Amino acid sequence: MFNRREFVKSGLAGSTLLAFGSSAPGFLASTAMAAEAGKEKILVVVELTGGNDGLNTVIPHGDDLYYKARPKLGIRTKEGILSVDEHTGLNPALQHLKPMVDEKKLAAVLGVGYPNPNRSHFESMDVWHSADPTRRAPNGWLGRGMSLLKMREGHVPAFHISKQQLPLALLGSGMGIPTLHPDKPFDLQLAGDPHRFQSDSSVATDKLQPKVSKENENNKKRRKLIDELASLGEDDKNEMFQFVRRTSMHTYTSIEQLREILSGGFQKPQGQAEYQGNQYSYKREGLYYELQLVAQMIRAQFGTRIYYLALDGFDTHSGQRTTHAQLLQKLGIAIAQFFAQLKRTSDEDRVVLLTFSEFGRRVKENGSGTDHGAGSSLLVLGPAVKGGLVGEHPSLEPDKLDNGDLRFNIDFRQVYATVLDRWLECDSRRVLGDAYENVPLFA
Amino acid sequence: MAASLEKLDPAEAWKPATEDIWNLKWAAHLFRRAGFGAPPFGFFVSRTSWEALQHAEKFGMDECVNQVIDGGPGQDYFTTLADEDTARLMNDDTKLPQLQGWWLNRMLFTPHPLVERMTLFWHNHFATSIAKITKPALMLQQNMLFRKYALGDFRELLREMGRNPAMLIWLDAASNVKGTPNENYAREVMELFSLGVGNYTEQDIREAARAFTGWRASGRGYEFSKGKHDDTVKTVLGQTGRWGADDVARILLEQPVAARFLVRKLFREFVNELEPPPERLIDPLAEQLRESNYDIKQCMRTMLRSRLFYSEAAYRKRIKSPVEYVVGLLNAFYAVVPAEAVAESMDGLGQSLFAPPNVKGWDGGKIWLNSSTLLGRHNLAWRLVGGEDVRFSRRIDPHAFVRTSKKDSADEQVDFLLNVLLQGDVDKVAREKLVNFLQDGSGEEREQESRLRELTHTILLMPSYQLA
Repeated sequence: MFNRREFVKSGLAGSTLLAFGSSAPGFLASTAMAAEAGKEKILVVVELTGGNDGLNTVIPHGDDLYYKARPKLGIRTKEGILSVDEHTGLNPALQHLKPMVDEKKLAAVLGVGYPNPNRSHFESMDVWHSADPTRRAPNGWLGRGMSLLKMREGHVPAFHISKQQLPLALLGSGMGIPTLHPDKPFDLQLAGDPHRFQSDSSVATDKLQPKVSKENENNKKRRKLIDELASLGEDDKNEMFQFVRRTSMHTYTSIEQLREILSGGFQKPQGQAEYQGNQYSYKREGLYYELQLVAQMIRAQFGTRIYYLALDGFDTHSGQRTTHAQLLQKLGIAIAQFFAQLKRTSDEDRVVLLTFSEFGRRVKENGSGTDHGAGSSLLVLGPAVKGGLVGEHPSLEPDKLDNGDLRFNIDFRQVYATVLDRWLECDSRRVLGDAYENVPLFA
Repeated sequence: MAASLEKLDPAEAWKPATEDIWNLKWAAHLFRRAGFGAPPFGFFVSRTSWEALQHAEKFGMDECVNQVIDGGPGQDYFTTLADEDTARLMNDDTKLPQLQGWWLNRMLFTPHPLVERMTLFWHNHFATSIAKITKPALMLQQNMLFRKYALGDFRELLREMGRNPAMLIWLDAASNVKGTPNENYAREVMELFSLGVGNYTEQDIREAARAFTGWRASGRGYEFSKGKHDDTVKTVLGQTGRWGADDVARILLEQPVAARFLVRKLFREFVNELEPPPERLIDPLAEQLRESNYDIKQCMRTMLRSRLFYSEAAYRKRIKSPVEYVVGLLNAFYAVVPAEAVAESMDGLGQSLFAPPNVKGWDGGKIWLNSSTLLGRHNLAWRLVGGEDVRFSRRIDPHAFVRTSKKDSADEQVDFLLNVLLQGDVDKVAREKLVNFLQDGSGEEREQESRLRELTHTILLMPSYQLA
């Protein structure tokens, strides 16, 4: 294992941070509230994009009204529902999470939502990201929380692992949050550059080792020039220009950081084995791979406190049965293998994973699928979590529904507040603007 | 920065700008916004994009705006050639990079770039992804429909969307039948295609969904089944009747808010995506759009000729989308490259043509750039101009390009490239640093060639080059 302290020293020396003094990008934590290396508590957020059907995720199989509303889509107990209590269980497609259910490391929070639910994907997603149902907050709950977190100096507070755009949830810290494409080089590629972060898995890991001594002098000059040009123009009044300038500087700084870490023996995970033809191939994309990448980053002692990922495809207006089962299976395998990997490196105790979706779906099925709904369930996992059901399942009585949708019992900001206060150890009132009653997620 | 749009007088803002302000900077601005960078081939008789830009400056604003709106010479010839390509790809064995390359080629070589720009706008407005459609021919067919109505009658386009096979599949028309309505299309047509959120109720969606029942995709066409259509009375946005799909499309566009919604979106795409415009600035154009029966061409003519368009409130107030960045770069060098290879190389930049992330399309603006997509651009730029990738190396040659300027000194060569790529929007210190970098070589022909490639790459990475 390479020496962390040496890295911080050399990493900063080589980065643009020192070169630009006061105009340095606010990319790295520079807080006095230093955290202890290898002890930071970490939150992994997995967004289930498209509106996950909470009712078919955490299933109230003891309630006849469920089967009445879902004659085609209802999941029967004989299909193998994973019992959480005698009336409620998880979709059989989540079978890989059974050990975590049995070991009480999985909490299913029931009936989560907010007042006057918005049934637009994009509006409701923004509500969840900003933690503001009035849609006035211009930034996200994690972004606002980030500046209050205990961090080791010089570390990246949050990573977004994705092929997609930076989520609103991570904005608002005043720091640039790097997006790491799971499958692309995270470096500036110059002529014959030995520093490439190869995505090609067929390249043996020894070829990934940088030949620092052979770093092309000319490339060094080019990097320096590119850095310098991005730093110019501080006085320009065009806000769009300033945005690009800041993003460029943040990016170049994070390249320097990651290059150091990646040269310190970091190995990209192998990927998910798939049997094709008559041999295994390894799939280096999707939630499984992204979570394995996070596990490796945690193992490499990144000081990062928050990781943000997403699984898309939950907008099941039609053909829901197959699609939803496939998605939940992906989710279950990815999470189970993530914690298995963390266990191998004894990092599991300091990781909690939270799933959420912009809304649940209509109680009554529409044929082969379900339309946009409101209240839903979400999952919180990890050894630190107090397993089991949290809250009551909302009533399925037709006259107790809100326009055919589940009412909520727990405001989603109560879940956020609990995670902020109890897990990330920062004052939720400063993030959410109000005090929200905690829910019993942690022992 | 102060909210500059708030201070503008709407009565003045949309008046035509005066010819006397016209210069190289505004010519380049027009071609970046209404096309993909440099003036297209054939607009002006020219050997390089630089010559073309200089011609544009001489021809004047009126002439250039007219060419942009109505298209340059050779449109029929181009259409004939392009349609042959379209026919060849109109089958379901076509691969995504082929489709993307087909479109990039049109963007690169069309004598009427605004049509392609608007086609892209509609693709983003009615965002449909091949990820769910899976049939390339249907994506191509939908794309041709966007092109047909690019500068046409939006009422017709919205009506057509209700029976477009790709759209029918995309928003689950097949399962929207009498008795078990599926709200997917009804919701998105109001939220994203016509009115915008907050301008309808959940009840409107439920009623409209019933009006849309009975349609489904069938092969390359559609089917309407009377038996599956709910023929009962519905009330949508206050109008009651036995409405069907076309009636709802009509009712939607009768709402005054619909024209404002569309103009707002066009404003963001073509004028300024930094600040949301105040309502009173949008109103005059929205009114014109409604009075013209949703004639998009007329609206674009007003916008692209306006004082506001040629003002600091619009200048460099957009971030180039990945497509604008790449096509613009190729246009600057008049590069003829294998478009399919370009399409493949664009993976990871955040804009995969025919595969928008969801029905809302690409958000654009600041969202285009994060550390990953910025590096994606930078690395693609090197791939295109660096000379290491054999598919592009001989077709993009900054050294040969600079030689056309007949400039010998490092100062003049840097100025030439900065003029072509940035029309001089460069910090003095930055210019000095670039000149020093170029002078730093031995001056040998071979080294000079790679120096100019490196210099060009550096300019393409500058923050100001990311702005449209």
